[in-house]
Amino acid sequence: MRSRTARPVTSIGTTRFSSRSTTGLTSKSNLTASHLSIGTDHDNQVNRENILFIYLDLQSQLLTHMITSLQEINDRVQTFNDPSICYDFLQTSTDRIFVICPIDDKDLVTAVHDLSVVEAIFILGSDTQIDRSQWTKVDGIYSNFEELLVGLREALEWFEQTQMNVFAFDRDRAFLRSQLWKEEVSLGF
Amino acid sequence: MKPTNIKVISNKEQLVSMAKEYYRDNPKLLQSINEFNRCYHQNDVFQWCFSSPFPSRLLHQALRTSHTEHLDQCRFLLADISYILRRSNQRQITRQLYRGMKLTNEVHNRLINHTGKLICLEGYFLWIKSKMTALKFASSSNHRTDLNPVLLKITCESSIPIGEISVKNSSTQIIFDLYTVFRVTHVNHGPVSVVRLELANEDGRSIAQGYRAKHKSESIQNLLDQLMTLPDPSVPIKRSLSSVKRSMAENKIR
Repeated sequence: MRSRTARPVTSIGTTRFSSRSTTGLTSKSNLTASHLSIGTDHDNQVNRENILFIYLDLQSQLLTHMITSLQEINDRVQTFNDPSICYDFLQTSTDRIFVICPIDDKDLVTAVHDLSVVEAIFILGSDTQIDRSQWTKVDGIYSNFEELLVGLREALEWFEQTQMNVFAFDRDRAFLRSQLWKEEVSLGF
Repeated sequence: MKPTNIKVISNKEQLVSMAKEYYRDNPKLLQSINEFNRCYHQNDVFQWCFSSPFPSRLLHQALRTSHTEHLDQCRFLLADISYILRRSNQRQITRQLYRGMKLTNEVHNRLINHTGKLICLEGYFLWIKSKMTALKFASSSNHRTDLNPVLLKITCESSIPIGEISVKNSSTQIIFDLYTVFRVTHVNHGPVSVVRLELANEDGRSIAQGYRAKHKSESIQNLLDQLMTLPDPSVPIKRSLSSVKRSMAENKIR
């Protein structure tokens, strides 16, 4: 049984990253990290509704201190060097995902945009025009990392205010569970 | 995995020790944990739980995701929030509170079809007094114009304990106690759907008590265990990126 004190995926990402692995090794480690987040049914339950930053780092430009900066905004950060592996991961994820990616491959961005698990996309690049009516999930285009951090912070705050909604309807188990728990734990609610 | 372990003792020391391990690679959070460890006092619980990176992030994530291990550790915080809410004896007038949201079609439709019925919020939602500001959030054209703008509206009587949270750079926000139950009284359709709610805690209690009475022979721990939401067993159909790109190319040619 997986240890219940498991830490967020980020720590795996950071450890792996500092060893500066090649694309091949990175992919495998990504799979390990992915496995931790989607492995057992229990993990699915635990990770539901968590926000995950996914950084598609095709040029392997991401440095450790940049990951730390990302983690300061959101604990869970995962990086990928390979778009296909990243895309596969996105399809089975149960998290709510903010994707950071370059603009070079428009088909890739479109494919990622179409996945319901992706909540927002942050594009790295400059002087790029995009059609916001087509790509409603694109939060902005950022030409440098500092601006990206600002954009991420604002987007996350906005997201938590307006979209991070978890309602339990009275037919749901979650509703009954919360009311039973409330009665039982007697916190004076 | 259990939905909760009722017998777990929850206190600051336990929480801090768990958190130091959980956030060991995150310097900013570690710093926040140390401050919390040094300075936490029940009187300041709102500040710690809604502004400070720790424990607010952990707490709200745990509530959203029903992360029961973390919730059990945070239970003393939930109790402190509840205590402070009840203690603040503000002379309240009946007021309207709002929350602007963008909901997926699925949740939006579910709410509409739930008129007359009960809902409960999985976490502390932040409400505001300004309808204008809430509408601005809901109908923002800068974000996700593909989602449905929804305005939640509650008419709140003076007898219900509420808490005022001052968040930096924005006006006061209001919270209700955890797992407060609401009834959806009416939904107005329009460019922004307006969902009217009223408080219905007593109805929530009746449901819980009724369920408990029906299953008298089972322990509360068992009942809670049984109610853990089972994960969706369906395996999503996966497509490779290259096949998706191929389809796109084919569609462009046509």
